Amino acid sequence: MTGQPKEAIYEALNPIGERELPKYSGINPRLDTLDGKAIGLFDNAKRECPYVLGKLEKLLQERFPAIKISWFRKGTYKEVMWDAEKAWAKDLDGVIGMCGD
Amino acid sequence: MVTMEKQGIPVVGIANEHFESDWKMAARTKGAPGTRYVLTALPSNCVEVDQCEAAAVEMMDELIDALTRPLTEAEQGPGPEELKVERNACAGTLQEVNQYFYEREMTDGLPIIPPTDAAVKEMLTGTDLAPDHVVTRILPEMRKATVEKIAINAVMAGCLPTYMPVLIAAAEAAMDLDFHLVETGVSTGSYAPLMIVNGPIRNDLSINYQHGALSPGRRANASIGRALRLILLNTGRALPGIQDMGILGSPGKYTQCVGEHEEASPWEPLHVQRGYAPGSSAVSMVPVTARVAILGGDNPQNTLRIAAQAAVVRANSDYLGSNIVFFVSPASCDIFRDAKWSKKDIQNHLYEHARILPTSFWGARFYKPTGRRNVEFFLGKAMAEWIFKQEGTDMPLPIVTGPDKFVVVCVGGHGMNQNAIFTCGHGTLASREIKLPKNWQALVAKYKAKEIARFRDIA
Repeated sequence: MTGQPKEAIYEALNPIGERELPKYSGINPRLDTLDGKAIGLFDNAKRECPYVLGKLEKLLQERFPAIKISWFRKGTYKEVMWDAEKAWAKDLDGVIGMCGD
Repeated sequence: MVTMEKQGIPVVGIANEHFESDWKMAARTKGAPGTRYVLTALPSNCVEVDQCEAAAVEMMDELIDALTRPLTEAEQGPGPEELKVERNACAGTLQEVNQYFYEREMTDGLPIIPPTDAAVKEMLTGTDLAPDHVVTRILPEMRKATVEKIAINAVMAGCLPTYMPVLIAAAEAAMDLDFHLVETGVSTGSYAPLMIVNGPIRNDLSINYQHGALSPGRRANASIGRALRLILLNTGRALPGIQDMGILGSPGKYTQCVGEHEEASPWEPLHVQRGYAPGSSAVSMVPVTARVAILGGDNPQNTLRIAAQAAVVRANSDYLGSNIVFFVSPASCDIFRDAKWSKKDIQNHLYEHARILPTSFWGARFYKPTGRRNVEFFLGKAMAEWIFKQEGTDMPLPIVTGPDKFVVVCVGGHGMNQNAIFTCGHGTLASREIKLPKNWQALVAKYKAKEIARFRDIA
């Protein structure tokens, strides 16, 4: 009598790539109020962003009369905008950003 | 958004409710996993003003809260530590290994060959590069695509060691800024890489560029494209529905690899056009959405009339900077050759004739604020102003930034009236030279013998 042939055992290597340990950081302290603050509206170029953020701008100005709103519209497509984003954001107190998705 | 949070500015993001995982992964990858967000049910790309404004009203209080509510202890801290990637994944029978890999989303859903140490070592004979050499880091998670990781994924896909030089070049091309993986790999538009291989390596590897070049059946075409997919999946980790947010997805993501039929082409091969030396080998990749068949065309004008009509489908996107790929089969190449049409003639003709009226797509999208922005970005202010003036007129408008955006490639078997247009969205063609190991001819001799007989004499 012969038994069933023993099934082969495979030791498989891991296909997942390593990555450097990301330097995780906490998030920044929040504001006491938005009134009188410079708040950025970041539009990442999805089609709904101008309408949603446009309405938010009006609502924010109604609720916080001294708020200063600044817009950044991503030029879309290439990372050439990253430096411009940084330059825009550096004098702001807070940002509301819309991804669209 | 995370970049600005890291810049020291309190941020809140607005994300679609179906993209919450995407948001969390992106925030983690960029190093600030606690970045606050508010979810909306507003559909992506909605341009119904009433719906958009209603969503803004609904989110208003939550957004203010996210910018003013004091941080929790967890939000102030450095966040979770990254888990180390072990070199070995698992041990088990063929089925157990497959189940393990499948459950952890390391596959494309099809069975894999277990990447054992011995199989990976053999795969590594296909390159002179050291196993720990970092070829690139793949978006979105920017994990290292080392030569060994490429080899592991190549084994899983069913590649031969001689395919390694193509895969190394393809991994580099995928991270070329022109290819724009940052969006093409994760976009709702479901872009898939179309790989076009040029040079002598096509015949060394028996890459199909003749009948059924895009069909299943040839190991090189099937497994090179598949391996690229696995490399992108396992070193980028853009998992479908988590970070790869393609709405419909694409069968092209399984594999989409062909050679150019240089022997039947009347023109310079694609890689030579792109600056590589005649006699060298290269891979060119472009992210595509779909293939549109072009049936008919018994002279250059007729063939291109149909191709131009097909190309106009591309204008459902306002990414004017992308390519349109035109696969011309050998019989149609003969027609162009006889009529003395160069690739440039074809590109110019397609550019002039693939046009669309402002009243159709342009009216719907290009005259919206984001559409206008894209026109300015790609065409410059002066051209954009001219285009904006055509709103409401019947002036035919171009669908790409210039004739060079049409990529003309000879592919396929012999037979009349069969060509194809591939439409693209984000991203453009990226090419890399394929660098061969010193013992290339010996490797080719060893592994080409494993090709099935009917393919051996094709070159």
